[in-house]
Amino acid sequence: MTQPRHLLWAACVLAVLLPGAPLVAKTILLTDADCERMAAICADAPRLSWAAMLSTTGVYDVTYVEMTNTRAFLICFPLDKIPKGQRITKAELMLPVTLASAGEQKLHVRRLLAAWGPGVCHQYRMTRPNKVEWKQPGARAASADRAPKDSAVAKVNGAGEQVINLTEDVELWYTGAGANHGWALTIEDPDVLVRLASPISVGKGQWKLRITYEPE
Amino acid sequence: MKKWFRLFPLLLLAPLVFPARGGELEVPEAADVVVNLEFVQQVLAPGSRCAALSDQAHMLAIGHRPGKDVPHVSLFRLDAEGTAADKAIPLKLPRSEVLKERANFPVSLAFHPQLPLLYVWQDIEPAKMATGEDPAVKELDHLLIYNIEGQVPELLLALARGPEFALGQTAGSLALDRAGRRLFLPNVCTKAPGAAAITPAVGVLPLDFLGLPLLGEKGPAEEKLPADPRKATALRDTRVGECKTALQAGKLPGKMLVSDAASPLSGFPTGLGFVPVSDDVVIMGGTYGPVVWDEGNRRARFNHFFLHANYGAPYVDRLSAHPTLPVVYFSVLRTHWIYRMEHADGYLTLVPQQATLADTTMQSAPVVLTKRHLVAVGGVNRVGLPRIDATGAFKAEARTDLSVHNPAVEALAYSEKFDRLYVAVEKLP
Repeated sequence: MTQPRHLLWAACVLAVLLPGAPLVAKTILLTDADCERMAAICADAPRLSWAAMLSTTGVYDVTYVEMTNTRAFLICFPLDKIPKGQRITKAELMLPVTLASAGEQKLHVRRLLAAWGPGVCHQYRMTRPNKVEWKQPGARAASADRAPKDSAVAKVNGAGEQVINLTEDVELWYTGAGANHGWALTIEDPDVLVRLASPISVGKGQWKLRITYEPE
Repeated sequence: MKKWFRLFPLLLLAPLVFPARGGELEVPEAADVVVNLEFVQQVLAPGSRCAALSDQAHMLAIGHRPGKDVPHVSLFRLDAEGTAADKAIPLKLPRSEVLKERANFPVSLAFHPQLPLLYVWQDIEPAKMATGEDPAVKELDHLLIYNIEGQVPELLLALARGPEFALGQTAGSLALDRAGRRLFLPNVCTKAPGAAAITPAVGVLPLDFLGLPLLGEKGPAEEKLPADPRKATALRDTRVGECKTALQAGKLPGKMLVSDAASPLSGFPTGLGFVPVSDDVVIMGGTYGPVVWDEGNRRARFNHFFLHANYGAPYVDRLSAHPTLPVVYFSVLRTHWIYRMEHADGYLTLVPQQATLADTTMQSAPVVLTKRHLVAVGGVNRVGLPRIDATGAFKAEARTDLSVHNPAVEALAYSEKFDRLYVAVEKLP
């Protein structure tokens, strides 16, 4: 191949690599560091935004997120890093499970429908600028606080990275068909515990949303 | 064909993974490090460890580490333009004769928000003894309340001695709420019911409208300071006398609220910063990070935030608040990190922002310069001045830092009134 043709091919490859000119599928990896909104809410501590783990009587900690049926974890990833004019082909939420009750346990993931913000807790979806309660405490009201059905139910079998396909939700948000208020993770069964490394403590960087997209 | 093959590795790089930036911010290194900034006054105060400022009383107080020919506290009057006097008023903290061979020192200073009162928390170097109780337990008054109206500070009350207070601590903060009706105390000891061992705690001492410990359930019937200064002084002297009577009976004047023994406080020092938000909720600096203390909620009394799990050193977080926004900051000593987090009614909420200042090793609590949208943090021969936006979040913008002669800048204070930062240094520029 002559030198000018070699340079032509190199230029073509560079054009592919440039983010501003996506011609093939690309994958973006968002982590908890990208999220501006996360919360661990709990019925037993109705005003706390971070009632992630009860370490001793009356003391809540954020080192781990202990999911039980009295708690919910809320998380919203921003999607503004995806260029316009794309189609979401795959979106996977990856969670660092460190411990789970014996047997197969179900971790439910559902889209949140109501806006939430500063002061979010079991009782309120925000307390600033005004106090606004959830329709049902804990973000539990179907079709009001959260979607009427699960987007996915992850089957957790012990510690390890849990990968959850949430392509439809991300596509819905990306296209603007639904407002992106993120997800609520819940356990619906009694006497079940699933512990995750906390995204603001020991599990920083381990909560990921991997999105693959391609031009429409 | 061979040349095609050479290009395949490049083609395989697509689809590419582009990591995104988020709640961790690398603040660029200071574009400039200068020896003078027009809004900063460097104050000669060798061996400084703490500072407080009163816009009401026009006074800057700097506490010193023990040293030869160094006062315990230096008081600098501010003139009408906010310039601190060259010459300090030296303040020697009281210590009983029994303890005269041991160095006592200030740990924290705080001014009353409205009244001309200075509160000092002091401690003493530990006794060199193998067994037995340290005599300082019974002899050292940790809390000192001074009237600073006159030319020379007048000690009104010396209190807080006894086994309820930990000894030998070099850190811990005093703080008052905005109304000046509650004084938060560090390094308090408590015990779980039926337990023999001491548990670390913090205390809250209710104050009356004179800034003195509140005696009884309610304050005096007349909660207004008499306009006549002589009557006001007489009233204050009467109350001081009542407090001293309680002290002579071996009691702490007033009723101190002590945090529960079941808390995330693992050891001493405690109370590494206080941000009182409401009657029940206060954010405080705990062993491994900020702790929300909600005394009104027994089932969720504490919410503990251990955010730097990759750096597990205790007692290194220093907490302070934005004066007007619902935001707290905490620096992690001996690292390059400073955090910002929102609160709602005192409950820490949403996601912390961790800013890394690679050229600044944290030595002090953060100090917010509200009018300049800057946060000042003491470093090693340096004051870091990262920028913040309208929400109090750190910005990844070029900044100008201050170079100073002080290998550990711990004592900084900001005057909202004069829009001036005061930095204690070993040597003036």
